[in-house]
Amino acid sequence: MTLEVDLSSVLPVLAPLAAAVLLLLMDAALPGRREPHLVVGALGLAAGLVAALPGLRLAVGEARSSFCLAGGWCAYRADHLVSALQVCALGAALVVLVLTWRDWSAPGPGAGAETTGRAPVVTALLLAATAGVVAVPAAGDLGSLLVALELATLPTVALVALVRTTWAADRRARAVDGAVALLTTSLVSFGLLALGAALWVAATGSTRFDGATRAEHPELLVLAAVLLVAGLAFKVSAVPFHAWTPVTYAAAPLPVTAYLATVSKVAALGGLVVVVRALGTVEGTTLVAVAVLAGASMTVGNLVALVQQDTVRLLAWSTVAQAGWVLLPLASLSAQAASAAGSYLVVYVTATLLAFVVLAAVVALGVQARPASLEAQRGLLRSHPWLALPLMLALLTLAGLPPAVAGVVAKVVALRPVLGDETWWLALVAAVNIALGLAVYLRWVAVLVAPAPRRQAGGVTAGQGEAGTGDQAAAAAAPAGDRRRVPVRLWALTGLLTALLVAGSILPVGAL
Amino acid sequence: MPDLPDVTWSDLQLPSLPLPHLPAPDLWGSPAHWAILATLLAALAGLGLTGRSNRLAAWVGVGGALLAFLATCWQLYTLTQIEGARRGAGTIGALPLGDLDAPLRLLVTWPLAIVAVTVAAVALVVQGYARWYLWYDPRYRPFAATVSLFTSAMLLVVLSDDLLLTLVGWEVMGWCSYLLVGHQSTRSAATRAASKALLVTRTADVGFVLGLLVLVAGAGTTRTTDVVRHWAEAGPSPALTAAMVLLVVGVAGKSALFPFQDWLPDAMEGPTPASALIHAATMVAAGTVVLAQLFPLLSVSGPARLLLAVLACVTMVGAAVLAFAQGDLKRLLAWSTVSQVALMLAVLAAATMGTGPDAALQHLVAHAWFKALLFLTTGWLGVLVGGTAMALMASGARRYRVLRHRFGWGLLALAGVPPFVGFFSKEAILGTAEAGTAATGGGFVPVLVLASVGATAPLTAAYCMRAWLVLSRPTAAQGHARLYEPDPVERIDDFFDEPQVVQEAEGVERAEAAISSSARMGTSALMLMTLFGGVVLLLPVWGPQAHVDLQLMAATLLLMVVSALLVRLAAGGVRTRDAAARIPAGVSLAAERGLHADLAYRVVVVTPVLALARAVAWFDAEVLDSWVRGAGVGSRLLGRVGDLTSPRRATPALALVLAGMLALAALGVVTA
Repeated sequence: MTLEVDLSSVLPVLAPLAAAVLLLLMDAALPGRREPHLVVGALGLAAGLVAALPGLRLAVGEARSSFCLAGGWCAYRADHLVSALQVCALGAALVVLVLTWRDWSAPGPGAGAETTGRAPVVTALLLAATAGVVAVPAAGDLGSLLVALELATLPTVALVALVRTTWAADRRARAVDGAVALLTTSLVSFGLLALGAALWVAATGSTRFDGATRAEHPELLVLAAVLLVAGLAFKVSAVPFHAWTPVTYAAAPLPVTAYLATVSKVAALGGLVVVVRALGTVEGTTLVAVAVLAGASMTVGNLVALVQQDTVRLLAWSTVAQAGWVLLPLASLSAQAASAAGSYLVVYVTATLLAFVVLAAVVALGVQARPASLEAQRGLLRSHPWLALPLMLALLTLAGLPPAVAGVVAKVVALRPVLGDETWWLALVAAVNIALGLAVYLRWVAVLVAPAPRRQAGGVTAGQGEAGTGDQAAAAAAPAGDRRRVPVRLWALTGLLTALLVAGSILPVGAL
Repeated sequence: MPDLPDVTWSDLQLPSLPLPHLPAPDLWGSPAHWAILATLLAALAGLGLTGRSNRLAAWVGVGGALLAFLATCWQLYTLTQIEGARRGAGTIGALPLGDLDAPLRLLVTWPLAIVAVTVAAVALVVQGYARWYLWYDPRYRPFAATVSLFTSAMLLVVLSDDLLLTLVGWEVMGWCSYLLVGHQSTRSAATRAASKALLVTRTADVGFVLGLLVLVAGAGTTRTTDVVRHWAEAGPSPALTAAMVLLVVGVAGKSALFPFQDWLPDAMEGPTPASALIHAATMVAAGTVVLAQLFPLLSVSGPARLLLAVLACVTMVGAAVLAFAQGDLKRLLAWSTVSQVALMLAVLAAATMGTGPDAALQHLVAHAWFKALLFLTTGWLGVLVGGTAMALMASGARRYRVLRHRFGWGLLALAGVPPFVGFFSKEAILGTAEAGTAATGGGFVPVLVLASVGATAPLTAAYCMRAWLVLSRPTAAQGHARLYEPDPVERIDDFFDEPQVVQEAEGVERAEAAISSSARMGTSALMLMTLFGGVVLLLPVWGPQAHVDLQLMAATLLLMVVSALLVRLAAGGVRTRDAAARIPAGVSLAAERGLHADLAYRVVVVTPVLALARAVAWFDAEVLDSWVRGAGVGSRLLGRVGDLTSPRRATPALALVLAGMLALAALGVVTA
């Protein structure tokens, strides 16, 4: 038995992992340094991104594969859609790294080193998680899928928990709470995944995904698929596996929340795409479970997001709702559906990242006691138009309302497989949710556009904001009246992501 | 009665004279283009380019009308040079409407060309007159522009060979009449009258638009000549009848036929030049033009003719009676307009294909001349005496002798006394109606029309006589002079010493000083046309005409004389020389209020419509909207419930995950 290995194909996975190993070695050699590790991490992500780019030009049916057996089966197989997901994940991880740069490179108590040696650890964790995310959609068998998924999940638990030691004790305790919520849910989900994998093997007699066509027990296969989907649904935060999402999002530092809301979703969708493609080859199976998950996620997510008063929590529930939209096309179990879900995810990731970046910029301005609350952003269009306009663009993209044509096109693309399948009840639920989504995001937009409130006398009171981040703590510590500025890197990220959305609105890509 | 010989109209007509071939420059477009565009551009320029200058606005308005007048005159000449005397012209090219053919063309024939000249001439006079009449009006500029637009729309209707263009002109006229009637928008009476005119005519327009739609849909084209050809070839059909009945309803609204008549007297709240324009030559007469263009279709659809005849005859007689009792000269003229327009439309109902619709257009032209003259003279006198009420107007023609001929000739023409223009047009109408009676063997419609016209003639003479008696009543000074100096006084020593002569000279002086020369010249031109306009009606270009029954003519004239004498007799014992004073006060008051048609409109139409509207609004706000509002409140409530029930701790979250997993697994097994 010979195994063909093509290293250039797996470079998107290997580059972040190699960078992780390298920076751990560097930490051993040069303890106490912070910036070089971040640079190495960024380089690793960038290398992975560059390595994944050629995959975007693959034609239909072509794939970059590695670890192939003689029979033509490969443990790693990246076609056009998978490459797009990889690029999306690596790019988003890079954005998150830039977003969190100052937090992770900040000194510890007393301007010394963090006692936990935090910078290299968290950077390595980020790289490892991203490598897992990149590996998931390319997985060719159950083993690779499970391992890659856990690699993508477990480091994020640590990322949520490992906050700066300068933060207030109760704030850090809450971060640990969030991490625990994430951990427990992910463990249960892994249990479900393992169960599903076992049933899959029982049904098909193989751990490979190309064996589904020879299923002896189709019912068992469907049950296995449902369990796999349930296990993956936690990661995409679909209802009813969403309970960790608001808790963890609100507890984690803002960049980590952005990571969970974007990069992690790529892993989840990657896994779902793998399962759906494997099942798509089986005649006469349908996954009502996915449709139910999609409908429930959108409805619950939008309804609860409608009453949120805090932007981070609102974005958390918006993530739940958008998970429904990502799952929506997959209900029809076809290659076209997988592409549709992938394109929706790319648009969602871009818009959500932009929203988080602007949110980080608003927090960095720190003019209010609770900058992440919805009220604090009243009148942002008048006071900071160059922050409010990108944010509005991102929100309109998520809502699917022109002038953000990218969002409209994404919604149409996501709905098309459902309409093609004539699953009318699901299309109806989706239509109702378009209206609900408009209410959710326009509510925020209306706050941005509204005239600014009178500035209250007495200035800013320092406090332990509920949704606070490290930047916020620093903002509270700064003397009142000190007009803080938005860092250049945030401006750069805002500009880049806005440009992407505008380009996507002018020249919509459609289905990948 | 002696047996009089029959005279055919063509015996009366002037001989056709060969006109010299002028070396005319080949202008861009046809005269029809020039006429319509000149006024349209004048309207746009008047609104957009004149800034705050009244003088410039007046030049633009008068210039546009003058250009249109010259263009229409030139059009007359070009028609003499064209074989068959029909000239078509395109406008903006055909509309791409798929199967529907919409060439948007214009067409000129002799009768319509003469109508166009009349419209343009009246518009020119009105523009010049309005410059004087609204000298101190801060909103003169929009008024002049609206008059220009109005003229353009009317010319479009007259010259259009496309039902779409007709509709455009028709609707633009409706809106312009709203603006003109409501010109003095600070007066509630004016705005009410404007709204009433708009609402009533637009209600009837529903019929007009639907009728046009049926015609166009059936013919597959909007070109009027093709539509007429198509339906005429198809012969009478229920669809054609329905379309023509609907059209007649629409025309009845614009032309103020019963039961839509009441908006027109109220529209006298507008400035006098607007009244002269709307009620002499343009809007109320537009229905006549449209029905004349579609005459072949009207003549074959019996129910439409019957409806038109009944409405027109009721209106004709009723309005003439009401005109007699009005206490305001302008309202008298308004009711007389209602009556005269009904006369035009009635003859359309009575005419046959043999006689053609030209009698209606002849009366339109004649009516335009003398009614414009009467309105403008009334406005002039109104400025001098401070109002148009009969009591104020009394002795006006005596005090200001310069007005005497204007009033006198106008009223004589209105009554239809030879040799004024009204006489000729009325004879044409009578002849046409009689020909219709003969052609149909005493059909109901021509007989009804003939009888009504016959009844209206003495009634018209009566109210004209009444108005004249009041206007020419001796002034108080003359009365006193006669009282104290019953014998003629010989004064030969000093001409200017005679009090009456001095008073008259003063009156002329004051009247002429009050008006601008251009406005006075305009009324003089109208006066001349009132006297000599008969020549125009005798031109050999009018279509096939009926015989003139000299017996009928004599009988009519006799009736008119008798009724005029009766009025004179009735006025004899009244100090004010107003014969209407003999009418009981209650009746008189009711007549002034249009027999309470306003109340009838309110009870029959407004109240039910408003009640329906309120019911629908209530249903919308309380029943339909409550669902929408409920959706908003409901989703907010559900969101709050979801927010509160979503687990915040690990244990319930895990329970939720497991429950979800079980549900999904069950679902998967069931559906597998």
